[in-house]
Amino acid sequence: MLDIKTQVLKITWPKQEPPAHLPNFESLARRYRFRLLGKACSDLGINSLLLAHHEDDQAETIMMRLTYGHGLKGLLGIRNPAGMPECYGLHGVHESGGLDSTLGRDTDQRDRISTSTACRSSRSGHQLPIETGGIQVYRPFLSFSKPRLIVTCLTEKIEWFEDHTNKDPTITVRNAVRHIYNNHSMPAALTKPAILALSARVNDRAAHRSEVVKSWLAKCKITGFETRAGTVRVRFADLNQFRESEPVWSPTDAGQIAAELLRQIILLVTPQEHVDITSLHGAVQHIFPELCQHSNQPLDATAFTTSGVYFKAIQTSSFEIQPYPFDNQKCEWLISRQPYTSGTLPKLQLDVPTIEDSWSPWHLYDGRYWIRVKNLSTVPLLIQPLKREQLSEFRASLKKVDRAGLQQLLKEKAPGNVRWTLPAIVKREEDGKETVVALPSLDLSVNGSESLGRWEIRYKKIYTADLSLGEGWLESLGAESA
Amino acid sequence: MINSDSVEIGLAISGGVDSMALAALCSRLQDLSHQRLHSGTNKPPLELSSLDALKFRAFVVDHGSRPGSHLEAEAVSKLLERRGSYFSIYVLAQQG
Repeated sequence: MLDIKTQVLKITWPKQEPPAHLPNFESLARRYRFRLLGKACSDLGINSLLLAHHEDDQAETIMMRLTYGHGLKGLLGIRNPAGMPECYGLHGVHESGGLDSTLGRDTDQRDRISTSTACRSSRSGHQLPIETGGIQVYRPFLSFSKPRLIVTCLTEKIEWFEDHTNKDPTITVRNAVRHIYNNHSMPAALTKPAILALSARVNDRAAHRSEVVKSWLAKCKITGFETRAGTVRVRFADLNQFRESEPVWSPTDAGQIAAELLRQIILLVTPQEHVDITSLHGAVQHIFPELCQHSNQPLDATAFTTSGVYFKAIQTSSFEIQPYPFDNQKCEWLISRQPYTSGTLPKLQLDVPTIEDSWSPWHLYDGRYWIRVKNLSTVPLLIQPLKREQLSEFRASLKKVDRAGLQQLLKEKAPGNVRWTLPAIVKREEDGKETVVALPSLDLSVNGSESLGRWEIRYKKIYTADLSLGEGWLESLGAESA
Repeated sequence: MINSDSVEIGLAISGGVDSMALAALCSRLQDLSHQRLHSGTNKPPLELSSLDALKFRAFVVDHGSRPGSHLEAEAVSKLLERRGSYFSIYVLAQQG
């Protein structure tokens, strides 16, 4: 016997429907399976989960992606290690929870800290807490073949079960691919060794490229980052400086590297879970016109949207923005969440809790902020973007000292239309009227909000290791950790 | 973080040959790390020096897809756990 503590996690399906008959049963089962595993790990304080995927799974996965036409990205194969699949937005599993395990689970103490007057008085200089952590999956068998694993079980005298649903080629694409490999001889280029070798080459090239991205990224300067409004200011590098260095990149390759660079910056503030570099060609032309050989006429647009964010060129000094180039001096860009269009407004509703005086779970709001609420009122509280028609009433409901603070914060942190992307806590009366009671990321609440509820907000986890961060950033982080 | 003197690592086990091989090798690692703790030798092989109180926790998912699916999950968990007594079931929130 193996003497490994074991828990059975049961999926309970909606309604009485026999789930195996659902047309999307396999993908639903996968989603529920991973979310259940993630939740179980999180509850037990487990940060790492090992999965038994092996080399044959890897080859099948790549083959499937080839048939779907996924291109180069698909050829990279199964990522290892990776974040927990299917768990986007699940607090404690998806890129979050690290703050809670380091601070301890004494939430009352944390509440006191976050609402202390010392914290409020210096709010303008502070960043929000930034989430860390999350559960990683590791696949230690990815370069071992299934026959080897069979021998391992035989040698260790371990029993196993055969899942016969894995053998029916009509159930899933994966089964079909497996069936073809088991029962047919494939063209040489599509045999498992050939596919795995191809994937290894693609991975090598990607690793090399990511080194180049790092070195180009190091020349871009982040001149400001505001977690309170979710904006970043960047002065991008002039990529002409890399034109002479070896190896010489073809325009296509250089464009791809620039797109990957942009992707890493965009991920700091986008509400989207993923940013696909194939959607960034237009942005590359705007930000790095030096890469475009065909048009000598630079694009003069000073604002555009892509991948959930809004790029706006900033006039940093007294002179007007000049068409590029300007002594290798490129203009600075302010990147913020793309303005909402009506109909796509994010909205979270937090009802009066069934257990009095209890916190809601943490919710990922608009893909950017983790928010939880203790609703002490008698009506639902909503989290949604601040709307134009709500600002003046909100201002009037603030204490006098906070009114000046609001003006200052909006001017500094959320200039122009950025303020209409700020999350607002809204009380919905029984007659349907909606009143803003707080702008949690600015730490501003209406007079008397204590009787309505409490809220806590954190910025999403971000990856900054390869970024060239200005001093302002370091200061703000220092203030946060102090 | 919850238990500072040990690291617990999760294993997703379906009962198939690949996941049972994973369980078998992890079980060996677990034994090695505990043997070292209990034998009191101060000179573990270098590659074992980071195996302090390594613990694994297996998760078996009962997909609930047909009557009796829990029997399969229980059969798998009996292969994993000596006493087979520690047993709990999570219920999934419907919104997923």
